[in-house]
Formats: sequence, C-alpha cells, structure tokens
Amino acid sequence: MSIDTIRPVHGEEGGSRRRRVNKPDLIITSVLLVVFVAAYLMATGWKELAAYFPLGVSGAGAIASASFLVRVLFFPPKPDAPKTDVPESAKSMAEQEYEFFKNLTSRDWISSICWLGGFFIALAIFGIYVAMAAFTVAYLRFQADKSWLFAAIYAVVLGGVIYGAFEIILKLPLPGGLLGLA
Amino acid sequence: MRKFALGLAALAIVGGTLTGCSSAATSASSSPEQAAEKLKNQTITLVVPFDPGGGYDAYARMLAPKLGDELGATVIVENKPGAGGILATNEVVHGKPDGKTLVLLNGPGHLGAAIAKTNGVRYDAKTMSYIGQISSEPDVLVTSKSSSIASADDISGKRFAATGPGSNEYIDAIVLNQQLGMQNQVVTGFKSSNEASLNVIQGNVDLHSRSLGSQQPGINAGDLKPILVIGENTGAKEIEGVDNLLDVVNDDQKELATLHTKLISSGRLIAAPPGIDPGTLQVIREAFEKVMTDEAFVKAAADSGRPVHYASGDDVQKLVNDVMGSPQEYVDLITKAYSG
Amino acid sequence: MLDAIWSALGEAVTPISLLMLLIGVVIGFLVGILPGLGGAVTLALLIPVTFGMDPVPAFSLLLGMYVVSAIAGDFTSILFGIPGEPTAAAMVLDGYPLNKKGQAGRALGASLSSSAIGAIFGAILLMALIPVMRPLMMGISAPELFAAAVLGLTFIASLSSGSIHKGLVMATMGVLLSLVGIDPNLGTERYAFGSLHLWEGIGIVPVVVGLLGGAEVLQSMLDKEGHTKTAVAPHLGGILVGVKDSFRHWWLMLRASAIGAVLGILPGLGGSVSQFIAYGHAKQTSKNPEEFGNGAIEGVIASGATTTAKDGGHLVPTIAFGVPSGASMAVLLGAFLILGLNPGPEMLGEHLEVTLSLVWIIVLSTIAAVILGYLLIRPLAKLTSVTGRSLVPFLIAMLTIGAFSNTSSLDDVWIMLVFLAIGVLSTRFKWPRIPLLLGLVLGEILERYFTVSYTLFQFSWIGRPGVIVIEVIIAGMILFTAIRIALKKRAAKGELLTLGGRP
Repeated sequence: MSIDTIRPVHGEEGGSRRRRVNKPDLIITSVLLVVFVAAYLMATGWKELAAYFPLGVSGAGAIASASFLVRVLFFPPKPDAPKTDVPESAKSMAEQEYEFFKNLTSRDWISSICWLGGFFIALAIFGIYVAMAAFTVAYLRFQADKSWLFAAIYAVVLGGVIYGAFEIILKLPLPGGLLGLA
Repeated sequence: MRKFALGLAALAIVGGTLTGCSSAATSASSSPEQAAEKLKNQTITLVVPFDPGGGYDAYARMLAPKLGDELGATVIVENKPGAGGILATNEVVHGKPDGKTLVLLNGPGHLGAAIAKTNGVRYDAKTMSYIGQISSEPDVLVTSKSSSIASADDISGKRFAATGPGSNEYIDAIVLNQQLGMQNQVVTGFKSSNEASLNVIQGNVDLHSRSLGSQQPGINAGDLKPILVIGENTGAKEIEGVDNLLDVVNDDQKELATLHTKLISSGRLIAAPPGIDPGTLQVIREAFEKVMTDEAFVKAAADSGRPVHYASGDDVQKLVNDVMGSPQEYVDLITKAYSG
Repeated sequence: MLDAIWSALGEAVTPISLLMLLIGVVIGFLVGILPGLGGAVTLALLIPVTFGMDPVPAFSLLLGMYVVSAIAGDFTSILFGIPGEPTAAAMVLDGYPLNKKGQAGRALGASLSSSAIGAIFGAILLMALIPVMRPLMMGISAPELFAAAVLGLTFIASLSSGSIHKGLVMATMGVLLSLVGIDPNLGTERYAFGSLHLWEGIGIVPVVVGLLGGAEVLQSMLDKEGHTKTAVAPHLGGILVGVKDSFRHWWLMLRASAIGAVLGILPGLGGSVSQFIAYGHAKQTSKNPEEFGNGAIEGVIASGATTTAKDGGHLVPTIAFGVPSGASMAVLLGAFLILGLNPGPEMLGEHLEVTLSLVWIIVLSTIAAVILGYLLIRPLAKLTSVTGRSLVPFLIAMLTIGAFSNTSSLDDVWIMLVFLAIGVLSTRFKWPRIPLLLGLVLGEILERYFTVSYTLFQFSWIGRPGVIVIEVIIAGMILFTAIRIALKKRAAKGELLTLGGRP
C-alpha cells in the first residue's frame, strides 16, 4: 500500500483551505504565452509552405498556455495536505530536487550564478584552458575549502586529460576564446 | 559574498596578466623560402564546412596528411557545419591570412551563394586566395530503373526531388526547368540527398540530380538509370553515352548552359583567406600541386571511390572570376534557386 | 546462408579482426563516456586508419567503436546525470536517481546487460532481414516516418511528471524550438534572428547536456551537507543485482529492444526519438509507473536496450540502399564505399559474408564491452563517492566540451547555458522538462515528413501498409492506457470504499 492510500480521505475540510494563485506558474505561463503569440505573429509574414506548421504549432501553444493561465488564475488546485510526516527516503526524486532548489537562499543563487558566469565569461575571452584552470583553483580553494595544493593538482590533471584527449589523440578543436588560447 | 567576489577576482587577475602577454605578431611580405620556413612544424587547420562523413570530409581527410608531409607541418581537419557552408566560409574569410587556416569549399554552393548574394554571405568570392581544385565531377540526373523516362526528351512534366533551396540538386532542377522550357515541380524537404534518392528508387518522385560520385552506387546496383549529365563529363563508365546538358539545350540557351557547366565543374576547392602573403600562397599552392600530381595518391584516391581532379590555384581563380561575372540572366536564375 | 553465417564468424574472429575490435571497443568506451563527443566524429577520425585494411578488420574497428560508444554513453548518464550521448538522455531519468540512492552499481549492471541484449537483438534482426530488406525498404518513405513521429507524440502525457497540461505546453514549446532555422522547403529563415549558427537549427547535443546536466551541476555546486546524495558509499555489490533485475524483466527488455531496432530501420528518425518511446512504453506498461523518474530499474532497462538495439536497425537502410540514418551511419557508408563495397544487391549477394560479419562484429564487440564495462564499473562508481563540490570543475568541463564539440562553436556553449537555465527553472518550479526535449526532437520530423508526404501523395498515404501498422499501434496503445486507467480508478474506488466505510 502506498503512502497516498494511507492518507485519510478529506471531505469538506480540504475545500475550506484557502486557494492561492501559484505565482511562479503564473509568470512562467505568461512568458510562454507571450512567446507563442510572438511566434505566431512572426509566422504570419512567411509564405504558406514555410508558415503553415509554425502557425499551427504556435497557435496550439498559445491555446494550451492560455488555458493553463486560466486554470492557474481561477482554478488553483487545493493545497495538498501537509506531508510533513513523509520520510526523506520515500519522497520522489523530482520532489527532492524541487525541495532542494526551493530551500536555496538568494545568496546561494547569486553565488552560483557568479561562479558560472565568471567561468563562461573567462571561457569566451581566454579559452578553455585558462578559464578551466582559474575556475578550478579558485572554486576548489574558496568554495569547496580544499587546500591550494589539492586545487592546483586537480587543475593540472583536468587540464592534462583534456589536452591529451583533444589535442594529442583526437586532434579536435577546443574553445580558444577571443584570444585564441587553445 | 566574499567567496564569489574572490572567484571573480581570481579570474580577473589571470585575465589581466594574459592580455598583457598576448600581442599579435604581424608579418611582412616574405619570400617563398621564408614562408616555407614559417609553416614548418606548425599546425594548419583545414576547415570542412560540413558534417563528418560526407564526401567533403573524406577528401579533406585524404588530403590532410599528404599536404602536411609536403609542408613539413601538421594539417588537421576541423568540421564546422552550418548554414550550408556559409558559416565556416565567413569565418575563414575573416580569419588571419597566415596560411595556417585553409578551407575546403563546395564550389557550386560557394559560388552559387555568392552569385545569388544569399542571406548571410559576408565575403566576396573573388578575393579569396585559391589553392587549387581537388576534385571535379559532373552532376548526373537519374530516374528509377523502372521508370518510363528514357532520355532528356521525356522529363517534361515529371517531378524533381531535392533537399531544399540552395542545394546543388535544387539549383540543377531550377536550371533544367529554365533551360529546357519546363515547369516541373520540385519536391523539397527531404532530410538528405540519400533520402531523396531512395524516394526516386521507390518511384515516389521521378528525377534527382546530384554528383556522379553519389549516384554511382545506385547506378551500379541497377536501381537508378542516368538520364542527363550536367557538367564536364569525366569519362566514368556509368555515364558513357548519356546526353550532356550542352547537347540538349537550344542554341539560345547555350551560353547559360556553359556557365552552369562551369559552376558545377568548379567541384571541390581549397582556399585560404583573402590577403594572404604571396610567398605563403605560392608555397601552399606548390605543396598542393605536388600532392595532387603524385601518382600513388591519385591512384589510392581513385581506388577508394574518391577520384581527384587537379586544377591550379590560378585556373580556379580564373574560373571564379568568370562565374562571378555571369550575365544578369544567370544571376537571376541562381537567385531564384536560392529563394525557393 | 547458414554456411555464410559461419564463414562470416570465421572472418570476424581472425586475430587481426579481434585486435581491431578490441581497439575499437576501448576507443568507443572513452568516446562514449565524454558527452558531446559522439560516434560520428570519432568514426570520421578513424576512417583514414582503415585505408588499406580488409573490410572485416576495418569494420571491427569502426563498428566495434560505434556500438560500444552507445553503451558507454549510458555510464555517464548514470554516474553524473549528464548524458554521454544524445541517445542516452532517457537513461538519466532513472539511472541517475538510482545512483543518488547509492545504487550506482545496480543501475550500471542493469544498463550494461540490457544494452548487451539490445545490441544482440538488433544484430539478429539485421541478419533475419537480409533476404527481405530491399523489398521492405521500398515501402518506407516519408509517411511512415511521420506516423512514427506521431506515435512519439502520444508519449508526452506519460513523460509529463506532475501536470499533463504543463507537459503539453512544454512539448509544444519544444516543437516550436525545433522550427528555428532555415525551413526545409522554401529556405525561409525562421526564428533565427539573423544568427547563421541557428540556420541549421538548435543542436540536440547542447540541449540535452544543458537541460538534463545543468540542474545536476548546480545541485553539486550548492550541495551543503551532501544531502543530495545518500551519505553511504555507493553500493557496488549491486552490479549482479542489476544484471538479475534486467533478466527478471526480460520481456520488457525484449520489447524495448524491438522498439529500438524497428524504429532504427526508419532512416531519419534517429535514436533520440526511440529512447523516449521505449521509456514511455515501459512506464505505461509498468505495475509501478509512479516509480519512474525516481529510480525505477525498468526505466534503466528500457533505455539501455533501445539505445544499442537501434544500431542493427540503422544498418538495414544503409546496407539495402545506401541510405544512412544519421551522421554516424553516413560515415560508415563512406567506409563501405572506400573499401569497395557497394550497398544494395552487392552487399546482399556477392559480399554477403561482409554483411554477415557486421552482425558478428556487433555481437562480439558487445560481449567485449560487457567485460570491459564490468571491469570498469568499480573504479567508475567510486568517482561518485567524490563529494559534490569537488566534482564541480570536472562536471563543468564536461558540459562545456560536450556542448562545444557539437559544431566546434562557442555558440553551442551559449545554447547549452540557455537550456541549463531552462532545466534549473523547470526543476525549481515543477515544470516537466522531458516533454520539451521530446517536442524538440519530434518537431522537425513532424513538419518535414508531413510536408513531403502531402506533396508526394496528398492524403492517400494514410492507407499505406506501414502507416496502417503504426496507426494500429497508436490506437492499441491509447485503448490499453484507457483500460488501465479505468481499472485503476475502479480499484481506487474500492479501496476508498473500504477505508471510508469505517466510521
């Protein structure tokens, strides 16, 4: 028997709980609706053979997202009964991931965006080797609290493996960035 | 807060030192000997503007090691597919003309796009430094073996198969329509020219024109029969006795047919960015010529089903100038073949 | 024929062939594990090596490498949550959760054994079809491909965890995204906003890597107390459990293999579609569909078997008419021609032995891969015990290089980043991301083959035999699902009654 079936059956009690509009869903759906409508409008300018499918798809998308918007705004689902008693291990993986991201502070988000942003900006400018080495050392030292030595060895090994695989064995190009350092 | 600020700061420091160190070396005009010395032990990239696995890729990979031997350098092949080859060509044209970047071009596609001034072309085909031609083969128009079509006289009112506008097969169809005074429908949208070919074999569509090399297996298997040769006949046994476009057009269309023959025969070209130093160009051209006139190489290429056809850089330059100076009528025709 | 089969085996087990096979298998493993670096590029790199070789050793190298790269691609999916190949995307859905639960060994074992069965199934199908493959291929054109894509669409519902309505919106968005680029019929630039890079559409590799791998990287970055992973060291003894699991679900394994192999015959459909069909099918027919996405071993088995079974199928159009399905088969076709083998009647008559040896090569390289994989599982699974943050630089390198190697362009890295953001947002706000991916892989096929079907046949194609078969399958599937849902509802009602009946 699964968790759901053990849960007591709610009668009127569930309905009395206040329905709340799910704001993220509202925003996401609105954005998607705008994209679909814009795509539709763009497609109206093309010749028939190139336009029929985009028109159909963006039209269908607009209808699907508009109807979902109506659902979000006017028929929000009853809030689930609080499942505080559910043990961590019984939660589905999607649920765990969802909660993981939900529990992040805005500091966490800014921090990871800065680290990733820094890496990819460095990649665009200096190419993979420099970006990778700088990121590896800095990240391991300051974010993962490893020793300088560990960070340096890690960076050298990673760079070495990439170099060996791509430059020597496979002879495949790697991103060199604006300065062409690859 | 401190931690990610540190992350960015670390990157900035590394960045700062590197910008200080990197300074573009400028090269003055040099003699062939100096130029040859400069290329020794260097890595030369031969860009293929298409996916790995096609004919272009095969030619590039065949040529790369030999050219490297001649130049005393390492030539590596880099696939950069995108926008029917235009993407990579744009990049190469605006790259450094130091001889370390070469590109293998699809002649008809490259020149066709340049004539039609199609969207996205950001170069003047005439200014590129051509190294030479590696292969040239005619296009062959085929139909299914069970088809009632026997010669070019029967093709009016039949349907062509093609991948999409701007492809060699689509250009052929448009040109044939115009030159033979037909209104044949061109069925587009096939994912690959092999798939279009299968639909011809199945009898779903009647006609399909593409390069001889691609048609040979189907003809040899007895699934396809050749109807018309477009371009200079190279004397392959599969197309012996098959009509050539030049023979079937009316006299008033001869000029355009000749131009189109030239376009198709431009084949596969090797080129470097415009403005390359003459000494370097000469060195690469000579090395290329040596490879292409090496009997063992020519034989090995023919044995692997990829016959080579050499033309010097000068000849290619002339051909490009001819084609690029086409009369308006031909320009309009090609433009039509790109606009669908 | 029987004689030919045995002499083909003889050709395939000569010392030189076996040596080439082993080299191919090792290379295939490395290439498969690296995301983005696909079989096609590596095949192209290996072609010059085969100059002057006899056909069978040459194919031992090429085909051995190719088959194994698909098997190894699943390893990356399970170990890091980043698909090693676009065809290993469905493997992430359940393989990675199993790893998180500390059952990496079990997932790897199941994936390895189901991949092996899938590959062998595909090879046997290839052999069985030799006498009929040319007539068979004469009946496969655009309408069959369109119908198969529609079949793929029907799995959107079962792949939308949570809300089906959200899944539909996401799938439609995926289809819309697939239209980016130059349209196949008129050359019109659609939604590319002047970017030449987008002319050929949004590449599947950067999308898969970003969409599925991104959220995992971010989780590793922010993993404070290591709570995204069970603290216990990965349970390695599970390898055999995984192998047993896959044979316990032998019927599913065979069905998934059949889905992969049969859809593989359709040139142009590509392996990225069939994995989701097999996965969706496994979920629909499972007794515990709610376990899917949560570490269901059936999900692993279905995706594992399909990815490798497709290779045998892919070879059918390549051998019969020289029509390759996808880039890798195109390179292999190039190799056929270089070695003087003409696809078509020649490979089914005069060179039948070479064709049959391909079957053996698939079987032998799979066996070699299983042995190698088995040896590698332990060291590889140990990697997962490295805690979250230390893995981050490595994961980011994989994402970046994986996306970049699609077309050797930084633009693909930016596309990967966009889909990374989409993947993270979907996870954060409970929007299903798999329908987006499914829409993206199906969209182009739907438009392209509908247009071609209509131009070729108007609507008479609806009655083509191949199309009817797929139509029947779609109808049967819908009926099956409806009955299951109805039965479930009845059962649930009964349960409620017994529960609610008590005062």
